[in-house]
Amino acid sequence: MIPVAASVSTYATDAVLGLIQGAVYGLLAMGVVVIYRTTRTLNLAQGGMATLGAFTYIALRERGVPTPVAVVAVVAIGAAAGLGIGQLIGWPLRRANATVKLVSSLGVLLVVQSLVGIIFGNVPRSAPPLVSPDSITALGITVPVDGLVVLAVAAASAALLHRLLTSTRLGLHMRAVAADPEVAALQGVNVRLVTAGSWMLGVAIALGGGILLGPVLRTVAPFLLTLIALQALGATLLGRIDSLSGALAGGLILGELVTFAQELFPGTQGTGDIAVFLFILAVLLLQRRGGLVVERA
Amino acid sequence: MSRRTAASLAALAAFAAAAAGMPSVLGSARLLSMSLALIFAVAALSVVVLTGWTGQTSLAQVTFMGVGAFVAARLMAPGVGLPLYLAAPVAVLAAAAVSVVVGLPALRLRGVYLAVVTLGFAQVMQDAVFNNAGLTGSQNGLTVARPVLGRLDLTSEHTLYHVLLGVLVGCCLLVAGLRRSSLGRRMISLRTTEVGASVRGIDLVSTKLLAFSVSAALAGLAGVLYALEVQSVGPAPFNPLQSIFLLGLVVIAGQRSVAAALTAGLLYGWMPPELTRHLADSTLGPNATNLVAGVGLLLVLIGREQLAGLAGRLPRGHRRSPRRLAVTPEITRNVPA
Repeated sequence: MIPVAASVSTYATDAVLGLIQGAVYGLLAMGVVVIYRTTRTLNLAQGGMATLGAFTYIALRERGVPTPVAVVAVVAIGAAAGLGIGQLIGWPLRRANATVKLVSSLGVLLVVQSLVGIIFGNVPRSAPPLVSPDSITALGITVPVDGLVVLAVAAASAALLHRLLTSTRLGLHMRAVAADPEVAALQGVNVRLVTAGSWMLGVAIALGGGILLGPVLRTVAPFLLTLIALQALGATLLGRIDSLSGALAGGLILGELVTFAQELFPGTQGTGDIAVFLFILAVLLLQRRGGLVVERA
Repeated sequence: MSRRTAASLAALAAFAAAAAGMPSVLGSARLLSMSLALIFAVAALSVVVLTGWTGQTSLAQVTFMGVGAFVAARLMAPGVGLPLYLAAPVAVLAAAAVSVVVGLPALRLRGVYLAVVTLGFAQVMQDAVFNNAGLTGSQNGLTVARPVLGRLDLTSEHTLYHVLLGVLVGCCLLVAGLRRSSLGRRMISLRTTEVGASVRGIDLVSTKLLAFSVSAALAGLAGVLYALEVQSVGPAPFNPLQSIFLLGLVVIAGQRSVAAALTAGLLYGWMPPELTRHLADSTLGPNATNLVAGVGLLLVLIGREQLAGLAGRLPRGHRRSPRRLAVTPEITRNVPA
């Protein structure tokens, strides 16, 4: 199966492409973590939301809306949707058990996925380039310009998110709620505001991440994109769904794994998914019992 | 037989009688949706056992159904040519065996982690197995020929419908019996706290694996029935979103009882075709169904949570509360101040 003549430059190119893909997974995963930390709700709808973002962006661009306006509009839609979900679903279910919260995100997924189908139809679309359709070649590595833009945007978003959580009042309150919602409330933190803020942030990241997936995957199909939730969720496991850097690292590893699995085993079907599944199993099972895989009450 | 058992049996008999009479009331045109409703009720029973009882959130139940359907279809195809009465048990056992493989990591995982693992498994099965013509034997799905078993002519839609109903009633009795058995009680005890259950001497490993395999066997059986009813097996009906949809319907219906499974099955079989019939644009059908299911699911979850806040303090009706251990005054008195 392993191609004999695959040159070093092929692998180097794969490594860069994997990094680009992984950066988007990492970004989506950070969105999952932001929501999970404060609300203990694992957002299985992250992929569906990314689909909504990707398709809204494509639809706006097809109607001649300039790129920056379209990006801002999509992220704003995400923030508004997140606010709605946080207030209407997250807040009433704040004391529900883990299973109920999980199933509620399945409900959100069903709604988002059907809305995408109703508004945009269930047909795959080709994504317009973000900045330019060209590629640049350096040191024998050919990389699309858009890929580098994606990498830069993902890195900047990660840095911003880190800054938001560590050096703003909202970030401080989010960390307080993550540690203990009740004590945080007693200390004067507005838990409802923080819940809504987390959902806003997480869903905005999901929709924005959807925009970035376009140039990475070239064509976006609603169904396939919805299932990208698996990559996002798998990436979060590396950091117990609690750590932003863990999620980013998990995303980058998954990006490389998926790209190299497809390069090394071109004949097998579903290599990407198998790689992600094995990564998830390995992360969950190799961690010490009672170590990383511990569910907080 | 206690009064409750008698009442449950009477309800099941009434359901069976009503379902048996349905084709003559509604006409043969809707026989397909009625048959699908019965089949998905069997699949919903598998969710009741696993999620409703043991609290394990599996997002791969329809995938196990797919395993049953594909194995049965492959074994009954001309190349192998096993008769249905041999192919069906093998398919059911195959689904159960596959579920043990997924259940093994589940021994250490709970809640959200198990959900992620089963979602991953469902995606792998969909992409690498169900969609793989090399493994399934055909690009466009396998065709399944309905057999004639003695006096049972399964090629007749009406006969098949009544066979499906018989199998469903059998499964309901089986699941109800399981619920009353010691294994059933052990499964229930996992739901609230696994640590508590193991402290009481319940073997978590065997109980969880049994829950997984019983549940997957039911799903696999539903898959075999599905293959017989639709007469062709392709990857589309077994995609991961279908498991999510089914789980959602079971939760809407109440998730813990046989009645919940029957309701969820009816919703699964009926909602898509009925919603599609009333829509001008037929391509909206599946999307509209998912939208209704999603909104319904969220309303039920939120409504139940709001009610729980109020009703948690009210007396629980006819349910007997467990006997409290009496705290003896001596012990209280001997505690140093």
